[in-house]
Amino acid sequence: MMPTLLPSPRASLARLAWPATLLLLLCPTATIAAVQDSPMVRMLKSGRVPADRQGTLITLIGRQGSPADLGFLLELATGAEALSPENRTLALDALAEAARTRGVSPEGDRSRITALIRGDDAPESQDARLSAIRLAGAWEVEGAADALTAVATDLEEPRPLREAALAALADIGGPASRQAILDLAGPNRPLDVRLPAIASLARLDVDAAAERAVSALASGAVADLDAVAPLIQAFLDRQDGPDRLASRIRAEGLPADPAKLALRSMYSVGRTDPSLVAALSEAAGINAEPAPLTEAEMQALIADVQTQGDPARGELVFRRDDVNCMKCHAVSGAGGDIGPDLSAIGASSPPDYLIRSLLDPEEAVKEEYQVRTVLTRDGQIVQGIVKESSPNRIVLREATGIDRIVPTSDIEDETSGGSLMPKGLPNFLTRDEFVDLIAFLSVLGKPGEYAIRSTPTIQRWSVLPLPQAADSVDPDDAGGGDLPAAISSADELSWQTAYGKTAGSLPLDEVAAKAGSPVFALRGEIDVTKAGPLAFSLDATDGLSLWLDGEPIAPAARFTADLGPGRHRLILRVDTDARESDGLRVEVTRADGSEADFTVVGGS
Amino acid sequence: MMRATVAFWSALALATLATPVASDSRAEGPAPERLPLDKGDRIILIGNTLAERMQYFGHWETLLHSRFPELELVVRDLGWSADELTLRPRSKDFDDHGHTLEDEKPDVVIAAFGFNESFAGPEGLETFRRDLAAFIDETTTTPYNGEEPPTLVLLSPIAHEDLGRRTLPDGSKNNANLALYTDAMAEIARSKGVLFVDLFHPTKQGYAEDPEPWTFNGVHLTDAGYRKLAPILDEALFGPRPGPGSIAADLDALRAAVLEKNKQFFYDYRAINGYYIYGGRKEPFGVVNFPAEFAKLRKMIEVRDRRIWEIARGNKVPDQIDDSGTGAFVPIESNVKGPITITSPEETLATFELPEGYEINLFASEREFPDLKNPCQMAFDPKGRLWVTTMASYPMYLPGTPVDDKILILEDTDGDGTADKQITFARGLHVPTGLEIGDGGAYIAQQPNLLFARDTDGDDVADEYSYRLHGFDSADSHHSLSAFTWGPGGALYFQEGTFHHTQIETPYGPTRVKDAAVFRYEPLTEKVDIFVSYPFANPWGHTFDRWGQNFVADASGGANYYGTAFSGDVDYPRKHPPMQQFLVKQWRPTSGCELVSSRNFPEEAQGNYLLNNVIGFHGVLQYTMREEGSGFAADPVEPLLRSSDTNFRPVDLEFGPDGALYLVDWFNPLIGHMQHSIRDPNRDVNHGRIWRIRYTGKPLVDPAKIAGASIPELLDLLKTYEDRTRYRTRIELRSRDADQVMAALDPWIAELNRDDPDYWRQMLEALWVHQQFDVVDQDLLETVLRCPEPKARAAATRVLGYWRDRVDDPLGLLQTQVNDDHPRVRLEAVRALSFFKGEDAARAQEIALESLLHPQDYYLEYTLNETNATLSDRILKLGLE
Repeated sequence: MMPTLLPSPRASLARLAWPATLLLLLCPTATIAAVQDSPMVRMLKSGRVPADRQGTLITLIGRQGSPADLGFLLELATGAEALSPENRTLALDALAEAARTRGVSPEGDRSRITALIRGDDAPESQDARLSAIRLAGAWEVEGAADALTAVATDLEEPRPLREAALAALADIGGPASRQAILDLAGPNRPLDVRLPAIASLARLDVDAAAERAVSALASGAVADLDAVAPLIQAFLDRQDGPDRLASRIRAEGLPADPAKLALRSMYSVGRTDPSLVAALSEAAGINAEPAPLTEAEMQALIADVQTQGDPARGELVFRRDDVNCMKCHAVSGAGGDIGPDLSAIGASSPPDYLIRSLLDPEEAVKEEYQVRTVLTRDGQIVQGIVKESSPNRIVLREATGIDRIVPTSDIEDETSGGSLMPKGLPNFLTRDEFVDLIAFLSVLGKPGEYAIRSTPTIQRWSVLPLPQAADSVDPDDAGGGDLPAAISSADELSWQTAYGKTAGSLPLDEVAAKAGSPVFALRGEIDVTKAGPLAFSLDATDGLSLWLDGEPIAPAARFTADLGPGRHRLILRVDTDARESDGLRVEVTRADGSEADFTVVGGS
Repeated sequence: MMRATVAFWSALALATLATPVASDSRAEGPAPERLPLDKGDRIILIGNTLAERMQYFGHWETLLHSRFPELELVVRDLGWSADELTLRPRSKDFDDHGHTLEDEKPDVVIAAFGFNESFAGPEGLETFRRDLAAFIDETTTTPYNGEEPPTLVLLSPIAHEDLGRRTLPDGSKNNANLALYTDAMAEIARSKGVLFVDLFHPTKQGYAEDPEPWTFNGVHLTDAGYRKLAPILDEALFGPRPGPGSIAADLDALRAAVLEKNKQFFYDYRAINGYYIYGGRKEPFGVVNFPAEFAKLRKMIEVRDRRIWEIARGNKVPDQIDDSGTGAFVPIESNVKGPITITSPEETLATFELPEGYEINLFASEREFPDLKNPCQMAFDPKGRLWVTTMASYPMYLPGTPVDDKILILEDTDGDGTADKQITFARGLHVPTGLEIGDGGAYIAQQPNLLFARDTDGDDVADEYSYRLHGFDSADSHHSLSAFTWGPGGALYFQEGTFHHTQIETPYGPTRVKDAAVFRYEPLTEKVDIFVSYPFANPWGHTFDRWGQNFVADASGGANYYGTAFSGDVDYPRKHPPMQQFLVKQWRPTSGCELVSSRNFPEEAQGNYLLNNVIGFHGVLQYTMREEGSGFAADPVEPLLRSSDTNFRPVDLEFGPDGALYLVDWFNPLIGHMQHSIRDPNRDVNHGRIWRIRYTGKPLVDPAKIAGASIPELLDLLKTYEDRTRYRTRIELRSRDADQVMAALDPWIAELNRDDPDYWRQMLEALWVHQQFDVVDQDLLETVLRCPEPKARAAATRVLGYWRDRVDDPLGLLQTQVNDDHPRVRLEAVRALSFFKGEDAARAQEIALESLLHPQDYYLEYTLNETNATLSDRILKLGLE
């Protein structure tokens, strides 16, 4: 049975004593009435709110509560039995939010949360421990440094906890924390301890971090974008980070490959800090700052777009990994949602506007993608789309899709404008590729091949590599067997996302290359809101086995299925070696006479 | 501003002026008694709506020039709705536009402050005194013109006039504060040695002695009011008026010249699309065309200054103003490559695809009605006629080309589904982005103002134009006041988008919002609320269902929101945080939404949510609505209409009296503001269409006879199935006498059939009639609050929220609602609790938290969080005071 908050009168009375004096300290003019518990705490103490709704109340207290209210939350969070594990985590998060976004904390012995971080008294719930670690950072509890160091060092601890412990150490600062982080950032440490440690070190000693970052990059140990990105981000997050890292790169040099990766990681989050871009571009051998287009060059470019530009080739550029457009933009209903959906961009935007938007994304930004960059009092830089702006805080959605909350009281300086769209993207393209890309964007949404279609196709696919031939179904058995276990029991995290082309076809060669296997499973989803028969039309069936909601379907160019309300999954096993065409297109329509209503699930 | 304004002038000749009330300038001691002027002085007015509205009538300025014809004075009115000494929000980079005091180089600054500040009451007086002293110090020591500081004149607020109207405050509360603030101003002005003109006491006395009203809402002067104020101000500044013999000017002609100058200056100072002129989007196009346009406009204004001086001296001037020496525009080429094809109505018709059984026809186009240029919003009047705004001046005024946008009444006199008659109701408008009919006229968006135009002689041509609200920002005309719609309770709703900093002065104090909102305006009480303060990009759609639940469509990103959850109160400048949408966006951008409610449409389509989309997908999207806990969710079904004609831009939609759906087609090959120059020659200003969709499987609806029906007949029409018929019935009803309607309502209620499944919706309509007329009826309210129909209880809970200051124990009533069985009733109650202030806030918070005793869902949690935040902040503030 779930432990609930018990309205023991003894406990309530005991807790009333100290917060009252505290509020008086805070508000010298407060009346006696004001030192009573807030209505939120009274409601929580009353025991009238069932356990599964106490979390809402706890979160409200974190957002609006006085120091006295927060004192009560701290009592609850550190008390032995009062709260369910979920509510304890919520209470810790609420305290951290109050500290970080409002600068309000309970008085009293905050170091008691140390016991929740590690050791015999720590909760079993990893979520609760993670929250306690973050709270120790938010409160800068010096006494927690040892426990945090222990978590950060222990490879048995889950990675999120280790990284949070490093971040908390950096929050706490001071010689002990600094030494602990330096130690973890040493070359003898394994990479997945060392890199987060270098990132945390950037907050305490940017030069020491730059030295270690450059040597890690130069060693070739960090060779993929996913590893480089957080490292570079740590420097982008600091006011002086990009300059100091740039100096170090200029002093020590950097091979071209990691330099390119670092540059791409910057572009992918829309950052173009000049010193760092220059240093990395030089190392990578790229011309970072081509001269702006003259009017004549612009006209020549537009003319080329119209005479030589090939939308089909341009779409391939658009989909390329290193250009990464689809990470942020959707077409035909599928793709990223950081930036605007581009399905109809060509219908509203002439080529010169598109060219300008790629060369200088900051010039014209749709209203819901306005970017703000803030510098916090402790020298941190946060850049993102303004999701919320209030007198107390702003919420910025970063290019990674993460929302960052910055209390207004923490803002040292801010500028509006700019765009999360990478500015240097065309630097990775040849002129012909650029012309093709513009040609592609120019036709999107215009009548013809790239118009918005009335017949939906599955655009967003999940891909599961099936490299073990042994797992595969016998092609002769296709359509007759159960869904192979390799597919039905695959971990959700092993599915990757792939997007169909504008006209609806999924390039299988591209998928196979990315999956690292000629055989893979594809999954598409359909939401039915009104039951009825739907027709699925496939461009070709060779090399395919099909299952709809787990039931085998005989491969046919067209089949119908009577579907009830809810989400339905079409799974295909694709053997590209047994398939002639490089593409796969699956159209979903109402079957004849059907009155079904449905949507093909798109998005990111 | 309008032709009609000038026309009024002759009827209101100065000679008929009543003897002005003796001015009572309280300036004493070292303060100068008179304002000294030199030749060529630049007189700059700043301050609140008192100053701002002066420019529209020109009476004082006419007296000024007539008194000093040789001084060649330059007058610029920088007044701005709801400005305060220390709070004058403007859109981005407004100060770069060329109208700061440094730009205007004043020799004299006339400052009208204190009205908005006075709502802080006695508690705010000390702050005001401190701010005023600082303002005087700064203004009288800063050499804005590069040489010496200006002479400062302070104007006190005018008094609040008791118009004797049941629904308006009598002003006694405001006047107590205004007197306090006026006294403080007098005292500080005296001690600082600056000129002070007390307008409070003379206007108060004037209101008392004059049988005619001076104001239209108690706090803002009418044309006649300004005419009476002019000599008070004139004599306070310069002493007794010289005799008529020493005035050389023809005052009518002089005032006409002043108004013409003011109009051109207004186009400059309050230019629409500021964001593209000087703000965040001036690159790359605005910097090309606008510098030359404003250089020309500013020279044109100087030409008009000289014309004023000539007339003031008694000289004849040509009828036509010669602007030939004011410079030329920069030629703008289109950035659209390739030909632009203008499709004919037949060609567009051929591109339409509709689901089985639906048919579309052309109701009107520019071919039969050449005035139908760029139609934007429509409304149907109680006679069943379609009214529509047109915008030949789109995207904005071009200096020297007079604007003449219109409201057309298009009528289908023979019932064949096409219009055959046009009446031009209003003209001379500038980019009228919104329209709604009511109160015997039409409310029209005229950024930065809300205009009310009325026909007084029965020819359906407006002959009275008056600004009712001021201070809506005009940074981007695409984001300007739009989507006008009446709520069932008699409030008018409209919306604006981001970039805007709006502040509206009302008899209840200033109302402010920045970066997008839905507004709620009660014409009867002159209350203006920020109904939804939310970071929309650009909302352009708002509709109510038959139970008063409302839905808001944000155009730019294609987002759609359930209205109840985010329309609780917030204190400026806080905004509600992002909220989930009730449907999954398919396409963008959208423009206009409507719920299907027509017996002509198929049964299964009833209640569907329709949404226009204008780029990429050109047509009308369709969603089925379903109840989901406290709120709603919607699922896409087959679109009602789609076209492959990319010129087809459906921007408004509404069911007509015949049950067919009408669509306004803006018809334009180019619609982006950002993607092309504002002056791109390919922007079309000559076309526009109205389309009509009906279902062939069922008969059309017999149009209800609304106009001219008796009050009991109108009340019976509130039982009609179609939402839009009831909507137009309410419009007709609100133009009737309140007492007569109330007298008819009780017997109507008594005769309602309690067994009718629609009984409680009819009772709710009765409650809304009360709300519409601002007649509180606690018994009826409690009856509906406690009725068995949860949808009616929810709607009544919202009414209770708006009556909270006039019912017994509103918090007790809301406590019952917050513990209701139905989640929507609880949601409405949590929302309503956000409006409580002062000592009530703490109890309201306690009651709101009781909602946690019941099951939660997304919207309940969202709204509780918001109400709790608003109330916590208020309680904290109260504690600190």
